[in-house]
Amino acid sequence: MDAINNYYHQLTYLAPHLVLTVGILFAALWNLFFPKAKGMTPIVSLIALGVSGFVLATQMTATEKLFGGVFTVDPLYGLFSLLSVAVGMVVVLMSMGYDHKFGKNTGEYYAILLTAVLANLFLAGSTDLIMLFVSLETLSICCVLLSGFCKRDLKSQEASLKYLLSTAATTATLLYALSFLYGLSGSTNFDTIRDALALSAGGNASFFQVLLLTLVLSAVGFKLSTVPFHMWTPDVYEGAPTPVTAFLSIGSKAGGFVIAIRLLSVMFAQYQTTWIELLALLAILSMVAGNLIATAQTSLKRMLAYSSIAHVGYILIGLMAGGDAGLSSMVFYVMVYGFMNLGAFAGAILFSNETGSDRIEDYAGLIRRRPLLAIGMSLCLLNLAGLPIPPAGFFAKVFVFTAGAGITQSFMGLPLGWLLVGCALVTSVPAVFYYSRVMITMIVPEPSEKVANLPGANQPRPYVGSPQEFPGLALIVCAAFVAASGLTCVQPLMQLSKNAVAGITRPNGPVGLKLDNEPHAKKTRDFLSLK
Amino acid sequence: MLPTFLPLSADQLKWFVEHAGLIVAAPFLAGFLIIMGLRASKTLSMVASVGAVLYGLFHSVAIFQALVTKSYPEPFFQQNIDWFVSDAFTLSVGVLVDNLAALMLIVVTGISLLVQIYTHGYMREDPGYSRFYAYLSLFTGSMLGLVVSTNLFQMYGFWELVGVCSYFLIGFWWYKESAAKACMKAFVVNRIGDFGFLIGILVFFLATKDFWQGQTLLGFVGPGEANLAGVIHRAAEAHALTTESLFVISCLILMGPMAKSAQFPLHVWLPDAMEGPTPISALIHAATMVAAGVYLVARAYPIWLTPDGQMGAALHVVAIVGAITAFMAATIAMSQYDIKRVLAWSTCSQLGYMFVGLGCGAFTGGIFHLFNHAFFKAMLFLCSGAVIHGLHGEQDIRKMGGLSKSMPITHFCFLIGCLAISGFPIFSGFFSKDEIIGAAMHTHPVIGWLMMATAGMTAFYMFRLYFMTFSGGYRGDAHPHESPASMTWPLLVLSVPSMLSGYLGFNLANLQAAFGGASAEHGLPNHFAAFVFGPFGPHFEGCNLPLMATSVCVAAVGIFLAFAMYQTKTIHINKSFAESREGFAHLLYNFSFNKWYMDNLYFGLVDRVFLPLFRGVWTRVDQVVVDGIVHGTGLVTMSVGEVLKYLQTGRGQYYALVIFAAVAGIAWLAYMMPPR
Repeated sequence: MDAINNYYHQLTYLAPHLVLTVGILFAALWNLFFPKAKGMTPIVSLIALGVSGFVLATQMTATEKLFGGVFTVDPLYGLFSLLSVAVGMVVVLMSMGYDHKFGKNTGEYYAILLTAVLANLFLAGSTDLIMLFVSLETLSICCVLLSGFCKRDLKSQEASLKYLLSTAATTATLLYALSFLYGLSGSTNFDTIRDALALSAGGNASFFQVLLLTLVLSAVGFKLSTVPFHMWTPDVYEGAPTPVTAFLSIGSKAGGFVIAIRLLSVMFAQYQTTWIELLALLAILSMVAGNLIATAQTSLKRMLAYSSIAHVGYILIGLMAGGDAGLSSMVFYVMVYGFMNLGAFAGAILFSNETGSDRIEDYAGLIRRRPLLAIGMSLCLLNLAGLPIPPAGFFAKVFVFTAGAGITQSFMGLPLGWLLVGCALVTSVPAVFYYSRVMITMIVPEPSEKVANLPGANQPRPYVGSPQEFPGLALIVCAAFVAASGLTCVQPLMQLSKNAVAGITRPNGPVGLKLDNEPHAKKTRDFLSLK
Repeated sequence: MLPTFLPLSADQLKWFVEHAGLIVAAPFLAGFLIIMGLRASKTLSMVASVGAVLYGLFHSVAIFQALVTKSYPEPFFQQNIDWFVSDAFTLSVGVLVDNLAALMLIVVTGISLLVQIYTHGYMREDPGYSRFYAYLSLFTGSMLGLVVSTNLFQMYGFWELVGVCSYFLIGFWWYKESAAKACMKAFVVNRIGDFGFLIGILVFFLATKDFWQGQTLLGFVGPGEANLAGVIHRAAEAHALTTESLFVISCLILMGPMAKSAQFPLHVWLPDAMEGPTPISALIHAATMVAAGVYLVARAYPIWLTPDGQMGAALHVVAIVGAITAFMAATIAMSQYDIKRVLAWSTCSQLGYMFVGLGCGAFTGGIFHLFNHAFFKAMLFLCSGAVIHGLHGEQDIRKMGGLSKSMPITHFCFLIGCLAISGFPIFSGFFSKDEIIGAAMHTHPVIGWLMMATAGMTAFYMFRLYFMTFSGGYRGDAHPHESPASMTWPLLVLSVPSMLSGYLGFNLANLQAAFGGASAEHGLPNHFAAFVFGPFGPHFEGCNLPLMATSVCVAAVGIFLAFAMYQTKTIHINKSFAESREGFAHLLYNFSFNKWYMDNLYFGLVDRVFLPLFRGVWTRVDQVVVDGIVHGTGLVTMSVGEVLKYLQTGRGQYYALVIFAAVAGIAWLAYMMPPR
């Protein structure tokens, strides 16, 4: 009986997932039976996400390994799941102004979107290779489907196909890495693998160790779209429906960050000196390439897409710094960045829905016609640039850079921390330039032709009563979050981040080297030292 | 006898002290509500704004009563919430109520209330009526927040907020080019000062960050030794702070007050700020915001002392800056023709007096002058507003005259104000100015005599203004008329403290004692000095009869000269100065009329030196760096574009190839890297 009771107890932690599953089923089936009332689907999706978020919020402090260690509930999982759900809600809001382009298939769209969020939840909690792989693939397939959702649009189809091919390639590299890990440790459990790896650590890394790390990094890098695993990003971001792009730019990454923390900071903790160098290479390439290419973009959507590559570079600095300060600054950055990025995308959706354009120069003079839209977007863009108005984005950068400056390791004779922070600071300059350029375009010049032709110029609330209402709401929510987090909530959010990573940086037990695993560990040692 | 203004019990008074934050919140709420929707109705906007500040005044009086009657037994009340916490430091925002803050609360809420009532009459026809009230509320809230700030960081925040409100209000009639330029000028000059202020705070923070013992960081007061003076003392003992470094810090921080309180050489914005509507000139640019600089110096007084709490070089700097400003502004005011600009220069000059007071150790004297000045200067400005209103926008005093018949109430109040600011005996300015001059005579006799001469000039230019405006025959072509009741009543109310507030800081028994031969060093207690005093504790001066007599004579000479030149026109020095075309007189007159050529100097520097230099440097940077980046970016984009184009021929397998190649390449690179 105890086993059964225990099982039921563990099931309670899956309540958010069950709620989401109900939402998915509803969204998938409702339109089949009641195609006339399809407006219900997004509302029910929102409710499902809301309820699941609420349950997650009540479980924030729990720390437990479920189902024999396959799935872990800890504050890190809690925070990132909450973030995924919140992002999901904002994306649903955005999609509500966009879903007329999906024709009859709106129900499926929401079902797949919710599935992606669900996969994110599972990914954030997975501490087992199988679990990791299954949830990662679920997420990827959902993203592939979503980016091709405008079926009549060639670009959308192309995006979907390219994403599929790239994700297949990285799946191959990841599987290769996972099979090695299993071979080394004889287990799929993260903890066991960590202990096995720990026994063989030390000294110079062999080619095999480096290869293993590179394989893992390629999978993480693909999920986070760091250079050089970013090739798919511009095509997919441009071709995919804009709400999907917004989801890909942060939603699908939230799980990736958790996996990066669990794999690199925990499982490969003993190999830190090695993977830091590899990751530093990826981060620097991402910061430089992302920012430089973003500078030259004329389409806002593409600019945001490229700049998201650069932001991942900044976020990785926190991961490399490690420890309380580094990881918490990283989590803080992800939270704040997520909302300001979504806000910018919501603005872009509102604008392109009304004008049919996405070119930055068409935003000219927007403040004359849509003051709230222009102000909300400006707020998000200023924070993306890291300017202290209000200081959410600024603090995020300051925290990450401060933590990064503390990396003492040297890299080709230079102190790595300063190298990274220096690179981040220098590449922030073009970022300030291209973000503020959009803002200045919206505020200073005379309205462009497209803006001047906007209807309802003197109407105080132009969106109320139209499908634009919901993306507008999404923008307001994001802008309010950014403003609030910068002005009053820096401390609570930082505390939340610190709590979330406390279990990672200070695990309850010491990193135990289980002696009963000794024979296998010896085998691992021999295997790894193979030159 | 203890004053009991409000029939409240001790517990109730205590509640008011502990909820002083409401005073700040109310105007902010009103401003917010007006912006969010009340602006649709003029009446509602006015009621919200006036109601908030009326509540503030009531609450402030209750706090004042609690502190005076010791119903609140502690010397101060402080409550902080953490705004920003990190391992290294914690920034707080909070509410601090002590005697100094309580006094300022009454001044700010009282004058703001009267100005807001006056605004109803003055701006009635203006299309921006509701917007004006919104700004007024926001300004009042920011200023009150500044007053109750518990630490330098918070004060800096509100300091910037009042600056922003001032910017909006100076440029309220933004369609006038002069107003747009004036608000820009005020903004830029204040940026310069605030930059120094911020650097000063940061340096001070770095020097003392280990000595706050867990108390409010950069807080003004604290339990035991954890206040500003104690921290500076401990930091100096631990050699984290030397007398010299504290001097540098205090000079940097002083840049903030110098800009905000329009002190030489950052005074140039204040006269131009008169482009704003007159209620603003009265509230912000005469009574409250410009006094914030003086308030900051008084609030953070230990920074300007030496580490062991003695008067040192930094206070001398304060005194010298104040003296130069007071003298310079008075000389300029003597030749100006715009009624509001004369008053603006006199404000500059009087703020200089306050700096001299603080700089010469007369802490109470400086604050006392701030207190008196706030009332009579607000009244003078409101009177000038009534005159401008009555003359349909005329501001040139050469086109006025004889208004005493058509505007009797305004005339009466203006006369009171002139007497008060000139230091005429029995009016309020007399007492505070004497206290400052006395202290200056004691520490720096040169400054003392300069201030005495300035007092004479003050009497002269104020009565020049008075006679040219109100006596003689009318020289303009409008139809002067008295203002509506909502404008005259605030004037009358303000005339009461202008006449009487001086007695708060003066004990008549001292006069008798002085005739009896008592020394001027120590006198009998007076209310004001017993309530507001600096770090050295309360100090009561006696009457210095020779000084008093001198200053009365100087003021009388100034008034007489103005009378003879502008009323009876029996002396013609003024004309010979103004109409001379060569020689020394011409030089002096132009020097004064052109405001010591400070504007020309600054604009010359900016136009001839800074901008060309900046352009030169920028052109280089643009050519070398920016073009380089853009070209480089173009190259990167193009090459990426080329690759993408190649890949987008439908051969998606290249994507996979790139991924595999990257994995192999990175692994190989990492392996080839030199061993660690």
